[in-house]
Amino acid sequence: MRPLLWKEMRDLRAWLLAGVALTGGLEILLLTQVFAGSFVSTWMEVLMPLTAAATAIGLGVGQVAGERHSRTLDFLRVRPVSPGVVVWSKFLAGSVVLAALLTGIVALSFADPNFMQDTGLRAIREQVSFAGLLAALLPRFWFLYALTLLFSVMVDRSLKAAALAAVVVITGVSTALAFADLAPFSGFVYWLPFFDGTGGLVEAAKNAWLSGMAGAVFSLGALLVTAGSAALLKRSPERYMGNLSLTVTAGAVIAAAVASANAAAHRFPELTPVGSWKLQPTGEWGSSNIVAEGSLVAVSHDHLVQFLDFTQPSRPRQIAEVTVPLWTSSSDWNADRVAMQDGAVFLVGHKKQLPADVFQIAIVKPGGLQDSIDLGSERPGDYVSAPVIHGAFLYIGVTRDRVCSLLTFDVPSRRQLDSVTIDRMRAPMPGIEEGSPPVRMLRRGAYLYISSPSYLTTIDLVNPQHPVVASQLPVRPKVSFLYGFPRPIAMQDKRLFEIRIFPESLTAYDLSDPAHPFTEAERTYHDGNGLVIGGDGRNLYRPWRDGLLEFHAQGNDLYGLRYLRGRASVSQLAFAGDSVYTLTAPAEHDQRWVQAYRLIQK
Amino acid sequence: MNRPAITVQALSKRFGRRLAVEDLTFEVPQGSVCGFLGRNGAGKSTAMRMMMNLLDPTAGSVTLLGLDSRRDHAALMRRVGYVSESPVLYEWMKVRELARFTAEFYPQWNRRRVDELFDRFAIDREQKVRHLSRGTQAQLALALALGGDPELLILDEPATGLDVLVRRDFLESIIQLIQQEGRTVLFSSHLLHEVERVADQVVILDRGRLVRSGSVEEFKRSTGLSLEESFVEAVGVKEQA
Repeated sequence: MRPLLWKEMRDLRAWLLAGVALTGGLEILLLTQVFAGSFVSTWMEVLMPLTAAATAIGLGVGQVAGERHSRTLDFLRVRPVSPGVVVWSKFLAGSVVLAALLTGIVALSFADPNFMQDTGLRAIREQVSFAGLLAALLPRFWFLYALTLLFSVMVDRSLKAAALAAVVVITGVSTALAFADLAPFSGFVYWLPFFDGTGGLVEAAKNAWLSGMAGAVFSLGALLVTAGSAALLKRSPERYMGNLSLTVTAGAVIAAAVASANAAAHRFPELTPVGSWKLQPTGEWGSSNIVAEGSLVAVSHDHLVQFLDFTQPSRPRQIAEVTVPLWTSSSDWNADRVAMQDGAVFLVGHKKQLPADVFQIAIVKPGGLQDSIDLGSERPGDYVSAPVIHGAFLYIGVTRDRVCSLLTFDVPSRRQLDSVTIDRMRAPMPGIEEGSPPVRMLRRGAYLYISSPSYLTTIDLVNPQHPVVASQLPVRPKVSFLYGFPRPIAMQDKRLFEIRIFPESLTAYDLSDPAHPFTEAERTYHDGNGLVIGGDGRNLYRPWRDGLLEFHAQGNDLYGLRYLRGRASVSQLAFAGDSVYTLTAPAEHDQRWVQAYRLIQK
Repeated sequence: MNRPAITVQALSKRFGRRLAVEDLTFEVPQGSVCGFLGRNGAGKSTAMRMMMNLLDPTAGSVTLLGLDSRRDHAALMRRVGYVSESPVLYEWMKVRELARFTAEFYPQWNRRRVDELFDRFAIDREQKVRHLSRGTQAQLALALALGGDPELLILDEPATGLDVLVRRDFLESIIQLIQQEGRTVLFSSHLLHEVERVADQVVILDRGRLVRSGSVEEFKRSTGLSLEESFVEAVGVKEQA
């Protein structure tokens, strides 16, 4: 084996030199700050897996196919050495070079002196060590390399082996992703060799057991595949796949992936809308939201509220369109916080006013603007949540000077009755733009649940004028910053669900004792359409493909129930009785739709 | 009687719809120099590549030195030397590196012989293989094939690429060198006068089929013709048939 190892290492020397030149050159450019700070983030999340995959494939493709094509394989075949030894020597040399190159490729993700300023990169780096990431990635790309070596044994051209490897990788990953969003395939995300929205790789890299288990399986797979390669070459020196069989195989793999994706898309029973309303394009939609009460639906965008009547869902009609005067256009802030009660919409927005704009809650009915509640002048970093209405009282979460408070208002008099401090956040990380720390609220019965950066707070509304804190559950942050991200919350049965980042995860709280929730489970969460989750109390809903996915949380996993197919991807949703109304994201020609679904068929 | 050095039994090879070698059966006695004759495309190289387990036979078997060429391949390669028609070597290696690389595979390596051959062929050991002429590369391949002191040497058109002046000396001297040690040589050629000068056995192929095999003397005695005339007659008879 020794002479073969020497030859293989010499053969792969160009790869080593290219790897050192690439990673070393990029590192020099980083240190001299030629690249902007976001380069390393792009490298870690996009270029690193691509480069690693290209390296694994590039190392393996020519090792046998290239020698077969150039006929140097014959030189080895007529020497007293087993073809198995030839394959294992190639595998060993390739593995050493792969490990060396991957070390450089991964190291580059940890080599930016300015990484602290990049929140996405920092979020990963605070959780994942260089050694942890390398240990997680190496077996994955080792397996890919072994697979490519197998393809190299099966064909007579490096290019053919590369094409086959590329087809298998792309189809394999896309198939895994198509199924990975729900049980029983949700564990797929831990096996991916790149950072996707689920944070599966982050979890795998920081969890020794997960990393070890995945690493052992991938490593065993690499060894078994190589044993297969050795057996194939030993059995016959000839190629196994001609052009026709190669094309057929690649076609079959692609067809299987397409069939899998199709099966993934149609694995749930479908529910179609009972009615739709086409919104006229406005030129710029700004931030928008939808609320519903019975068959009355209100869509807000910017300083405009449209009231729609879905009494006859197949023939909805617009009742009114109300503009809130003096409100700023919302291109620079979010006017998506809205609630509805007794036909009135409570919309949070900005009112132009000197010397400074003020936060305001506009109370809008189909007949026009009814009233407004001033929340004080706006300062940078302030956040105002969507309001929660309970009888004659309105509750709103406000973050100001990094203190989250619950404000109570008497709606008829528009007076503020109370203010309860629920979260005093620590000082922001220097150099990190955390945005406005959000507050999310959800009421069930006499309890109001508030998700703030540091706590899940339960508010007792027995005395609605003066709510009191019933309990607080500290949130253990995964990273030391990133307060500025929304955390949608939803309810299913006696469980409260909250999305957190980073990585995205869905935490379930048990509400058996509604005053004292406790953390029940946490799982990675993948929502390609954005971090939106809602619930009607029985099930959970989230945007999925061109519509909504109805799913049910059970244990530590999510099970899909129905696909609520629509016209376009959903940006917001609202529940009213047995109906759910969706507001689609702007699609072709800036077109948006409101769509109504009946969740319980009569 | 010694067992044959080469036993080919009902060997066939099909490439798609074309039958390149068909039901080939012959034996080559130990210690003999056997010419493997046939016109271009007769199936000589295909048959030799199957003997060396570089191609999978469609049917049939090959036994070299009493061992199955497929099952006992690695063990057999210690005792068999092979030079293909256009030997492909690792071009990025220097001659010295290639010699050392090749030597490492063999339990016994006759370095003195290889050095002698390098000197005889005037091969520069420090030269990269890619910088050698085609003829020198053929000589290098032959020298390396002899380094393992093979009991059986299979040469596929070994003189291809050599100029006329060195071809005669090259073939005769090498084959005599091997044969003096009681070893067996099977070499293919379409140059009959070369074969006649050094071979004591011949196997004649035409269109993948065996036309005739046996000793050169027997050929001449039975036909009263030279080997060249006998070959033309054999192939001609075949064509008429």
